[in-house]
Amino acid sequence: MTGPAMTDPAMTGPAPLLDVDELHVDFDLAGRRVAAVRGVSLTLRAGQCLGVVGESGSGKSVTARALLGLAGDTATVRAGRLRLGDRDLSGLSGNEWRDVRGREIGLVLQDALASLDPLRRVGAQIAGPLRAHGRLSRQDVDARVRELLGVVGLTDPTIARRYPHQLSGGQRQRALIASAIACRPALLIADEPTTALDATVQARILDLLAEIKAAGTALLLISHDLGVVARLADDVAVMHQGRVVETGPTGRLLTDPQHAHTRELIAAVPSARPKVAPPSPLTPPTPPTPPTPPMSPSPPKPLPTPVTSSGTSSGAEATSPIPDRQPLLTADGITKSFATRRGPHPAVRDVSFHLQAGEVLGLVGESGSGKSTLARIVLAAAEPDAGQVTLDGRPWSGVPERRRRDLRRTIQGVHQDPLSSFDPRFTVEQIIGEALTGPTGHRARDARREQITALLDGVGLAPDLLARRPLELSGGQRQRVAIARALAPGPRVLICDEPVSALDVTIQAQILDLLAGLRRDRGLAILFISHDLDVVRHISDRVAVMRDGRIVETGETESVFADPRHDYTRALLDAVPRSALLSATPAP
Amino acid sequence: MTTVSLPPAGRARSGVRAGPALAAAGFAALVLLAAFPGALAPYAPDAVDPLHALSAPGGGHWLGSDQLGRDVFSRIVYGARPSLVIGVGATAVGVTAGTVLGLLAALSGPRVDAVLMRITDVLLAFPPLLLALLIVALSGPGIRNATLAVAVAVVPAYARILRAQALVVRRADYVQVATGLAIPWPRVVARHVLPNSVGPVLVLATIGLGESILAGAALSFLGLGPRPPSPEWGTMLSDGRDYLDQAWWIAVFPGLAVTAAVTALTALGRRLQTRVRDGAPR
Repeated sequence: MTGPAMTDPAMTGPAPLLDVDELHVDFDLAGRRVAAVRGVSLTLRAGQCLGVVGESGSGKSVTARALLGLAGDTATVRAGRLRLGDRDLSGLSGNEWRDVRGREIGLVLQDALASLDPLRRVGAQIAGPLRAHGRLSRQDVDARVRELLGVVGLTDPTIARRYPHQLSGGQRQRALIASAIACRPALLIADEPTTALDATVQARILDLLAEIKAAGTALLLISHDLGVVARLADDVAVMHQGRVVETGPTGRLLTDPQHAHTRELIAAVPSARPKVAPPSPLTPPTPPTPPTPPMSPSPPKPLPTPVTSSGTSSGAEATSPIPDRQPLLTADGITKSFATRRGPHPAVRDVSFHLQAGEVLGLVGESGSGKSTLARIVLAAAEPDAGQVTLDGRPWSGVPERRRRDLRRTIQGVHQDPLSSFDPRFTVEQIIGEALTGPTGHRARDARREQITALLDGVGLAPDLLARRPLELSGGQRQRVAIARALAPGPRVLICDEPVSALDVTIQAQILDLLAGLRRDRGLAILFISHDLDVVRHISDRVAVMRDGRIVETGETESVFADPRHDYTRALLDAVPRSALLSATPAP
Repeated sequence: MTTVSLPPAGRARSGVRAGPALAAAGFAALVLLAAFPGALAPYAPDAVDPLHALSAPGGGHWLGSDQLGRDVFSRIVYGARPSLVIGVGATAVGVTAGTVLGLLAALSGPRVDAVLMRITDVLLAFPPLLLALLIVALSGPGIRNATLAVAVAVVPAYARILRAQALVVRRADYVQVATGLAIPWPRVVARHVLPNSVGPVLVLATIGLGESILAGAALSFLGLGPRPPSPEWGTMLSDGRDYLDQAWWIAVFPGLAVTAAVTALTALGRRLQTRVRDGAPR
């Protein structure tokens, strides 16, 4: 066991509910032995929350699965001690495990849509564990399902009769939590329970987990997001390469991290990084941005230049664009509807914005707000129903593809889902090579490979990935390959749709720095779409807040964040767990 | 400290499984027969020996001899080639034509699509064998006409599948990205759309190979394939029919040959289909 032992919480108070000592999990991958968890020790008492933080591949999810006997066929689990209450979990048989799961340990996963059976009604799925474990009569089961739905805040009585796809992301996560706590397990394991959710929904789910904890359930919260963990956890264990490198009370760990990796994780959280000094109450009383009502169909007004650059940092010089310069990209009155069974559904309504060279415009909004549709229109992958996009002073939307072709390479996109944006048969070398210009012949091969390697290096990837195919890359690697490809043709405008949301914080920081550098050195203009306010705040000069297809507020980043005008912007800002991290106090 | 191990639950997947191995062996044997009939057959396929006509299996003739004293085994060996030629030829022509038509339908706009698909609808309404029969009846018997007839009969199914696949791939993000890189559309089709659409068609083709062989044999059985006396399994079956009560072997062994070949190919195709669907490395 490396790292400080978790003795102090265990020594005070009653015996821990969960007691894990020296847990090892090895995987047998085609004859090769891979150690995923190497001697993890954890303790957790009833009514407490232990946060396990680490990057992807640090072994945190495998640890959780091992606690449920779900490590898989290829895994070998060894433990010095593996106890839940007075039950020894080591060496349980399949049937005994089934008895533990659901009744003594509940599990909530990130992707509620994947975790729920698409063909069964929500109520029946919540009743599932009750039927499997309990001896409740049918009426009692129904009553308990209703009660559980109430507990997780799903008060609409029709929800039990709906199918998972008929619920929103937040509702699905609630339903999943309801089924996990149906049998009143003593321990609830939540593996990235809010990662796929929008900020406001995320906040409510965290509140719900806090209530469950307050009711006496022990909570093992696994996340890559320190902000989320800080809000809920009493103690935090930081995992790195299969080991717990540091544990301690949340407050102490955040304010006084001992291990280098912990410091790295904290430093990489965008809100904790230099550009964003804690929201300054001294921000000027914001005259610059006139309260921006929903965008009018009038041509985009050039935003007033910031009156002063007081209170803002390095970004400020780059921010003040030369006022009379022609914008590189303008969108004017963009409207787009989709046909649905219930008639046309407007996805983007009358949106206008402009983007100048060297400028980063952050576009914030929750899922379904029309951000991605707007991105597709700007990339000319879709045509707007009304409105006009102009690129470099030339019409970009509504013209035949032939007239766009010579401009295509000046605007590139980074897709939200990088895997689907790669031809599955191509290698990384082919994927990026396709985006390069220049001679393609046999003789140019070495030069091209050099270029590709340099691009990979720029996003922090080693050249040994060249021969890999997309399915053989991790999520973070895919995202970075996508960014490298977008940069390959030397674009002047980059449209990034959630480019870093799938990445670990340290890589996230690296990518954000890379983008900031390109903006500074090459005058790259970036439309940065994200639901993550911290990231947007970190990188953007201006932000636009989108809701239901409209831009409800725009302005200089700091003024919008410091003094949001629109109710919705305020709601978004309030929902960010950032504050917990900045003040470095654990949640009560 | 007690160390507890949870042994990995063993997976019963050891070695080569019998079914697929047998199918692969059958296919290999078929190819071998078609390639080197002379090396494997003890007699020439049309060596007439009236003295030993209708002799039972065993002795000089492993699988017996027919009414003219020709060795049944040798004729089966020599019959593998025309059967395979019709099967492979028809499948190859069918897949190629189906791919071209399917791609055209998927990529050239709704009007071309509608016309092509209505035509395939009409063709699909006929059982393939009936369609092939109709075509040979019109164009005259012979190995080339039989091959083409079977090919035409299978085209609609391949075209349908490729079109469906190409419609999906055309909308894939990576095709959008390629467009965004100003790569000319024909090159996008050649590099991304076609290679990513053609997989299911190729898998289906291995199953279709067996069916095409069967269809070829059926045409021969009806006297519409290769002309006698050249050996073909369907023709042999048809000849042997008249002697079934005295010499069952003349008809039964070619029948078994057809059955074995078709079964092996179909089994192989199904296996391939499962593997592709389960995402085995290509």
